[in-house]
Amino acid sequence: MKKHYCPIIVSWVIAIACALALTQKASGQMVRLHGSISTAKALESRKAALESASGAQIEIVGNGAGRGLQDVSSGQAEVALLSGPLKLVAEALNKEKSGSVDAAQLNEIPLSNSKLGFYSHPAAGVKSVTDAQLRDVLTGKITNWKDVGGADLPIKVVMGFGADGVRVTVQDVVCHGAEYAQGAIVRNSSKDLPMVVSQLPGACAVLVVSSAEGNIAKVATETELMMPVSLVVKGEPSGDVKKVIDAIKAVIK
Amino acid sequence: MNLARRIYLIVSLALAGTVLVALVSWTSVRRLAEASRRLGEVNLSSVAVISRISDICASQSSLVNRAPAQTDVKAIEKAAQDYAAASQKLDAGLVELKKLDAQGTLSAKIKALETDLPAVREASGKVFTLAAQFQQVDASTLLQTQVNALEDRMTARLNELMSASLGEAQVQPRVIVQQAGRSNQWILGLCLAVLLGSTATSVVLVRRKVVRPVKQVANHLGETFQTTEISVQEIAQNSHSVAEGASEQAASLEETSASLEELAGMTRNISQNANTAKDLAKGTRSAAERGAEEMKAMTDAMQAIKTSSDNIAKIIKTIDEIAFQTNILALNAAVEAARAGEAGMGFAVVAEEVRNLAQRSAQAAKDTTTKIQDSVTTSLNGVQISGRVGKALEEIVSKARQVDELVAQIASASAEQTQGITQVNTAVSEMDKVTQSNAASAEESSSAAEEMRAQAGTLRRAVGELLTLVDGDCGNQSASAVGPAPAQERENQSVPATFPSRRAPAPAVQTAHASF
Repeated sequence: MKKHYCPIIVSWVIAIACALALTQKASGQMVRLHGSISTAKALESRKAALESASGAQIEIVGNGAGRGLQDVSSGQAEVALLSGPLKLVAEALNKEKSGSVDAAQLNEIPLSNSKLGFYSHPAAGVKSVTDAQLRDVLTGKITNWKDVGGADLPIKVVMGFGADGVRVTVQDVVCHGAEYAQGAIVRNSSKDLPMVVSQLPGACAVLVVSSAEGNIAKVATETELMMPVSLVVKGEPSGDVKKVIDAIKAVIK
Repeated sequence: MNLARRIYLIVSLALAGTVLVALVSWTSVRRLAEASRRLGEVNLSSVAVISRISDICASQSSLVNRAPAQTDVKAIEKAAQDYAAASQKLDAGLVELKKLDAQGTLSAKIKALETDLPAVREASGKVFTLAAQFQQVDASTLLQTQVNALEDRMTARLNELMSASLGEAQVQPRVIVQQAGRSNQWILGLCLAVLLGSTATSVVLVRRKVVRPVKQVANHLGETFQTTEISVQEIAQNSHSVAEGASEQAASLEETSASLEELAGMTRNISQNANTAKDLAKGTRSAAERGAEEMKAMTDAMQAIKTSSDNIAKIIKTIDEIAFQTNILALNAAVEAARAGEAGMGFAVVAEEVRNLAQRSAQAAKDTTTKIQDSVTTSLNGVQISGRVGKALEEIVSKARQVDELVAQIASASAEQTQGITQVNTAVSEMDKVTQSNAASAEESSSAAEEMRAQAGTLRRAVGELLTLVDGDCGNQSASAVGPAPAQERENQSVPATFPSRRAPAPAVQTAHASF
């Protein structure tokens, strides 16, 4: 008779243990980090350490800096992973959809700077460009690689869409606010850029150095290009959100 | 008219009714099949083709919608090729749909669908081209503004086509149901009529033409069965007795076989002893013959000794005569020496000495003659004795020869006796086998009789059942009169179905035989 009760008792013990474990797990608040794909990629590999250090559960989604800001503004995320200046990204977002982001309510917490690089398809045959040449290439004043000492090949500028962090940073720092070349290839996700440049002879793009991979050649620039990386929260951070931000800061250092 | 023909008549009537029903059913089913064919081949096939076209459109939509986000040129080109292939399948589907729509109820809608196809294909082609150039934004814009709108319109047209085709397909089952209902009424009515008619006819025919004769036969069978069962019982008892007798006979034979085995053993020993005696007699005869030969040789040797002694006696006599002559001569010489005086004195001495020698020779010859005479006498006596011994030995040889011949005859007779006993033993063994076979046959006969009795019981029950079947409850009374009471049956069953088997001891007997 006792033997018959054993499986039932064991099942109940396991069920209660699972329930307790879930309760423990759920005791920490879920902190959602949305935004820059490269930053998300970097944090994803340290997620366990961040959770351990902060004691909170973390959700990391690499959906682009602009979307990350929109998610924080709409309350769908607690922290935005931002690549590029907050002001410029917010402007670009509001240009797409007016009033989607209120930069005044957002609090930017600087983390570090990402190195940017200018890359082209190997067929372009260019080793380096000056800042002026880079600006003219991106804005469409120079349309052939032979004008900058490369092959006789039309230039195809590839960039991220709208409020992409690299796009707005380069437009501000390199192009001094001028528009990009007409007919530039625009991708919804900056993740696609290395892949597109590697397959399209004559293509070029400014990429986060850490994400540059595949059949692409780096073109040296006169000035080193940097992009600010920051965390953005609505208002002042507190509780688990603050703990997560502190943990991220510690990890980034 | 015999029973089979009567049954055939009844069955034929039922069959005729069934054929009538089948004919009516066949006609109705043909109508239903035609309606079903139309439903299956035309309406449902149209629905299936439209469904296939919808699937193709959906797959094309999926291909074109995914293209702008693709970052691999080869994947985009592959998607464009798949889109083109799907377009060909779609065109083939439309051709098939037109063929199925022979009445032209769907033609207007098919035409409208065909009108939209070039536009959506052209727009999709542009999307693929832009996607291959990685112009994601432009491709997405074109997709949303043109392609998706066209696809939505095509989907609506396909839905209309599907509805129209399904509507047509929904009408057809109603036609089938109406026809089936009418057929059902016809068939049911006919079935009822045939059933009632054939049942009534069958009842009358079966009662008059089948039940009555079968009952008579069953009664007769019951009477015959009783006689058969008694006979079977007697056979079973006889078989049992035969089996017991065979068993006893087999036991006696086994004992006989054992006695014969002992006798054979003794005879074998006698034969061996006779052979041994024969060998010994033969040896004795040989030894006696050799003794006789040796004795003859000894007699010859004794005779030769006697002859030699005679010759020696003669020589001795000659020596004696010479000694006598020498003595005389010595006397003469002494006389002459005496005459010669002193001159003959020396000669007289010599003559004296010669005389002495002659006398001694004569005495020695005399002694030798005496001894040789004794020796001759002894030799003669030995010759006579050896002659008698030789004769005695010859008699022994003669007797030994006779003994040898007699012992040989005894050994031969003993061997023949052994062979005879072996044959007798073999015959007994054969008899044992035959007896065992008889016992087994008797056992089988007994079993068969038991089986027959059981079958008789089954037959009795079958007859009882037949009578019950024919008469109903009255049949039970008739059945009880058919066979013996259950008590008698139990008594019959108390007779053992099998008898003590003689097969078990058989290997021992066979082993005994094998030792011969």
